[in-house]
Amino acid sequence: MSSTGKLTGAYWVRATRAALSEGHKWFPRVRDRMIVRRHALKLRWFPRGSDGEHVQDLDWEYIKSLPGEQIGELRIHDSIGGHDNIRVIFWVAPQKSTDPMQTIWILSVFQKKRDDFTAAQLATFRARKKILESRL
Amino acid sequence: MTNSLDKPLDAQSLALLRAYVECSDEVREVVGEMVRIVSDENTDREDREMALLTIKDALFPFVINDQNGMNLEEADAMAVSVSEEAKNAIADLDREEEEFATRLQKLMIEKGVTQQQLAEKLKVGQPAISNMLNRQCRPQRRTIYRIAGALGVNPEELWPNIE
Repeated sequence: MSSTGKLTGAYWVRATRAALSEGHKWFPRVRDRMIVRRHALKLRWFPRGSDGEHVQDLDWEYIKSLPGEQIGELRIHDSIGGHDNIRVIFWVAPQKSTDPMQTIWILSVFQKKRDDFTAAQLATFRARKKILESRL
Repeated sequence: MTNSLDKPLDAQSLALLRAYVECSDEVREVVGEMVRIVSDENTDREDREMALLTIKDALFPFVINDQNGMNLEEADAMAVSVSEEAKNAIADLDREEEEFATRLQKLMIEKGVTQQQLAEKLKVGQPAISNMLNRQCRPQRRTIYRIAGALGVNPEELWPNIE
């Protein structure tokens, strides 16, 4: 349920401060940040099981180098703010019994410059997930 | 010769130490790992910055309205409340998406294509088309090209100045 009370998708999407800071760094223009945010909000319709594709350009996959961590990358192909190959790294958190919907956490936002993630990046994604888990 | 360790700790350093002491063992372990990344001379600048941001998150929880993190759906509303630039940007983006949805609807009617038929041509579920018509999804450029191809129209008819 959105803040307007309208049902919008099956997941809440929340962002860590680190992800928001990275958004400001890569996209200093307000408009560009908002565009990235709108693409990230497509994760509200993150597909689960055989629900089918509700958002046709939700181009994502779980990060293979982090098996079983439920950490994925959302690929934004448009050039925004002069950057292409934009990645939104997200974690699909387990549902708490008190919550009507699951939450997807945005862990990081950046321009991916290599085919593979660096060891430092993978460690950072895992670390941000652990911090969130410690606070659930 | 003076040593930087001879200087008394400032308020910021003390706040950092206090935050570290108050962390759980798990979070301290995370901080340790990030410090190793930052300290490694082979770590590039961007990876170092990511690790530093992670340390900040570990030591100082980010809480808004008693909840961890920021609800992305509410982020626009918060930006608008503090910035005229944000208000104008949102109005612009909303207008672009509304005009796209109107053009898409019009072209589908002209071509006699239903949501289901368009969905089948694009090999997606019908809800994906519905989401775009209801402005719940800002399409990427390549999606616009695919839709234009499926409808047999120029992409500029869906999104002017798409280039």
